[in-house]
Amino acid sequence: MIEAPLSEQNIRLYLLGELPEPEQVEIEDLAFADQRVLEQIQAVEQDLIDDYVSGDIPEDKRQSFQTHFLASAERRKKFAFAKALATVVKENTVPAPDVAIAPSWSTKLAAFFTRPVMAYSFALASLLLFFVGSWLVVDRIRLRSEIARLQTAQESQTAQNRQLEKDLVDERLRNQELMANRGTPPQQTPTPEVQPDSPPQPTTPTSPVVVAFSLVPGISRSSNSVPQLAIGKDVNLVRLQIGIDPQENYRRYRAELRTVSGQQVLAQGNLSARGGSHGRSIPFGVPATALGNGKYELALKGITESGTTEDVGFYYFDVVKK
Amino acid sequence: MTNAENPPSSTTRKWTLTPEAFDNLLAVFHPNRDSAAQKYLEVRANLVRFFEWRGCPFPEDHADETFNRVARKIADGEEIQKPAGYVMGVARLLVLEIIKSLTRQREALGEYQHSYSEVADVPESESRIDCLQTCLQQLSPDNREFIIQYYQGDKGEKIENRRKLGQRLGVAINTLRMRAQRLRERLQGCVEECVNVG
Repeated sequence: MIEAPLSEQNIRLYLLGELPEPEQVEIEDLAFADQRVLEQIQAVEQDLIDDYVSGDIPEDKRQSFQTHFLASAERRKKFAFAKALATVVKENTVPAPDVAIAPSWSTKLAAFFTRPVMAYSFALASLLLFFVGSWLVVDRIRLRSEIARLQTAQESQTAQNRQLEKDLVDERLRNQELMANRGTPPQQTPTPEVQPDSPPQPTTPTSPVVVAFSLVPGISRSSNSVPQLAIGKDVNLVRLQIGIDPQENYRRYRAELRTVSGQQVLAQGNLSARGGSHGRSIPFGVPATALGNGKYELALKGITESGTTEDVGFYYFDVVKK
Repeated sequence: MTNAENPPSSTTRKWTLTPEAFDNLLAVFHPNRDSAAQKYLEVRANLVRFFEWRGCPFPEDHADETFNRVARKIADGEEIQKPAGYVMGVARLLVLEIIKSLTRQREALGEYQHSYSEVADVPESESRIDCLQTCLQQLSPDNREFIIQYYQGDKGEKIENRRKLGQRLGVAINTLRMRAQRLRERLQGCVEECVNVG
């Protein structure tokens, strides 16, 4: 009679066919009635095969193993698998776990975090954190340099605005001085930069006479169709209407008027475009006294948000003074 | 394989299991056909284990022969009250026949007594090792580490390893053993499939 639970030794004897028939029947009845006994027998079966593979069973038992245990093809497959497993385990030996005492909750927690899955997860998370952190640092540096660039641009814009304001004041003073010299009130035109050495023209103390003149883009200096501006003796001011492409969208423009020999006559910034029935144009007032007979070139530049200028177009016209 | 190793049931095999006889066999297990089929498979798995444990060469064939004999008894008008026990009783009688046949065969062979370890019906061991390496890689890293640690070392060292492994994982040795057993069965299934394909 076998006492419960089954001893491993009895199971081994049973699997080697070395138990008397009644005890074999008893083990079988227990195994088919209780799943735990069945699993116990299967576990002992695996250990028995492993022991045979490693040479850890006595010679007399080896005989039973060969003649009884390995009778079925299925058992021989298990045996072949055990041999392969032993070989592979030797090739893949890992350090044995070093545990001397029963684990506390902190040990279990540590064991949980040192499990390979967790270790890989933490390694991955650390890598991810590293990349995110690096990206944040790089992005912060990029933002700082962007802010510095914007501050520089703003300072440059401010300086340019100051310069423009200064130019405006200077030109107004010059204009007033010129007008005072000619005995006429100063023109209310925006920021004319009149060359000091322009020849003064005789004027009358009556209301200023203004002549309007339109300039269209796309006419080259050598073209035969260069427009001609006739300026009468009584004209005080020439109002140039500089036509621009409707797609030009600078907020401010700068016009530079010069002779074909390159001598600057007048320059004015802070000009703005106006829409009209015939398209967009920029009004640009030039004192008639600043113009003499000859060919002129007007360079129109757009002022960008950052304060730099970009060429918009060049306009050419002839002046004939009457 | 010799003729003596075949199931010693040449006379009983003259009777053929007809579909009707099989239906009658299933009906003994349960009136509902699905439940009967489930019970049939359960009993058959136990029969295969039984013949394997008893050192019989063809457990699957012996299990089928057992059912054939039971079906024939039913066809002959036998009334079966406890089918599982009855089937096992028939199997025990069959195993005696098998053992008698095997004993006669071994006596005839004399000094050339059969040793199954020399039977070369298991595929090449090298390919089996390669397949096992492949199958191990398919396990999760912790399962792979576990199975290697569980089986590594010689006898005494192995026991100590397992004790430490159980402590580290906070589980009893029996639980550890069951986990290893299930993983090993999974691995073996994977290896057999791999070997058969290769």
